[in-house]
Amino acid sequence: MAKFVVVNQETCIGCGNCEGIAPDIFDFDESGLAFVKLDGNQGIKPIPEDKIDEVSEAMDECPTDSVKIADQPFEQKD
Amino acid sequence: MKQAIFVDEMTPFKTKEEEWHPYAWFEDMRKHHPVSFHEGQQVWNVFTYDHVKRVLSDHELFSSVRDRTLVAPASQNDGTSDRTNILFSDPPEHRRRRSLLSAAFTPRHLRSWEPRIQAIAEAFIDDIDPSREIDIVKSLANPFPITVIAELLGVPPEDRHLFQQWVEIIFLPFDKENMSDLNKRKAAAAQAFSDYLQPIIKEKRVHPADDIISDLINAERDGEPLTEEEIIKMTRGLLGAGLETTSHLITNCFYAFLYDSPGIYRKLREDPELVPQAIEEVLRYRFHIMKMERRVKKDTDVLGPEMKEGEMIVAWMSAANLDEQTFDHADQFDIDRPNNRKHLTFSTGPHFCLGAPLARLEVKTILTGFIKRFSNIRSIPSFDLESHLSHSIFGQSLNSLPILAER
Repeated sequence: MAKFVVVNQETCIGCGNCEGIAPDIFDFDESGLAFVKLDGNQGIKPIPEDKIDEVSEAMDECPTDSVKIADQPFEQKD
Repeated sequence: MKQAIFVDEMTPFKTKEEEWHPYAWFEDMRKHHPVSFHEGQQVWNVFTYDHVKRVLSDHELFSSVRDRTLVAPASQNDGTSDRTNILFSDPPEHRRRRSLLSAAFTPRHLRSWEPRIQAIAEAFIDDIDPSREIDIVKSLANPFPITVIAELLGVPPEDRHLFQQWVEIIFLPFDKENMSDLNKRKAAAAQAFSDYLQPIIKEKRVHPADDIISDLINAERDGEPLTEEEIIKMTRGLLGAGLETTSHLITNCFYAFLYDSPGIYRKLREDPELVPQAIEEVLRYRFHIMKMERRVKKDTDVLGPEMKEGEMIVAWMSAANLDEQTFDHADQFDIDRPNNRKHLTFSTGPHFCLGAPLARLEVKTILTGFIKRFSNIRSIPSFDLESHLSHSIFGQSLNSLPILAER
């Protein structure tokens, strides 16, 4: 089943854990906060199959629970 | 001025060595007194993984805004605001303060530093003479992190002995008998550090460089630039946080490879890719910063007993890291455990260690370099642990670690 991921930048502290675990999925913006680089942190592009384990680990390791994974694309805010 | 929590009054350790191996006490507390109140210090203590995690991360109930601490560096009543302090604040304020620094510490930014960190590590490894006894503390663990952080901050690395000395005084442990003397010494060291840094900041205002002090000069808080005093305080905080922590982690890695898990060095030599997970296991199993304090923000019984607003609570990360409920055979050093990164040594929640990516990178670089250079390490038969331990503000740490290395 497809999985989708976003980083909640309201709570992210830019600690570096997610990018350390899944460098192909996460990166940091200019203010030092993490985002999903698959789709500009929109949560609409499925995580590549072979990266799902890494992304799950990144979710587990996020100290502020800011990595969110869902089975459906995230709804876009206006 | 912040008031002290005297942690020695709450622990049963009679010798330095006992505190170096606190596992039996942790187990007893987790099993029999997981949430206990110390009458003398008027402080709660929690020991299990779930409780420690909750206390560290739930800032609605357990606040970092506090007047009593385990670790209070020189408390200068200098009249400056504390609008940049990241340790003693809660979200959302904490977030605004932390964001002044977080960009510089992301792994992506650090990657640009990797070649420089690598070069510094190689230079220290080059200087090691394996025909003699090697003191890991003196030859690697002390000078390496201080040289790296000096470069990152943008202060001359050759002055490292100066600021190392000041930082050591600023972070000396509380001494109940001697508080006023100690505070005077700390204030004097803080002043000397400030006098040292002022001309460097002035110079960087005119000639900014790619370093953290220049970043702080350009940073803004509420639309205003930081004051010189604020830049000095933040720099001091980064030095304090970045020196002895990384230094002890490096020393503890060597100690663990020799004494906690003999033989592991050869395994790492065969496969240096295992170094990062070995570091995580050392962080889980053996780190000198064993606990962190919070203030109860509102009355709660979420951990069982009724806790009152304003009471202090100490979360023992090192005890949580040994909790069997989270880690199988938790009392054994095992680099192959699948979840060793779940340790709480870097804390968790909004205050997760800002320098964790830097510490991980530094220690991986120096250990990998050393392991590739030397085929094996051996302990010194006459090594007497007790005489090599020092009581620091956080806990016991090795002031020297003599070893032998083979090419």
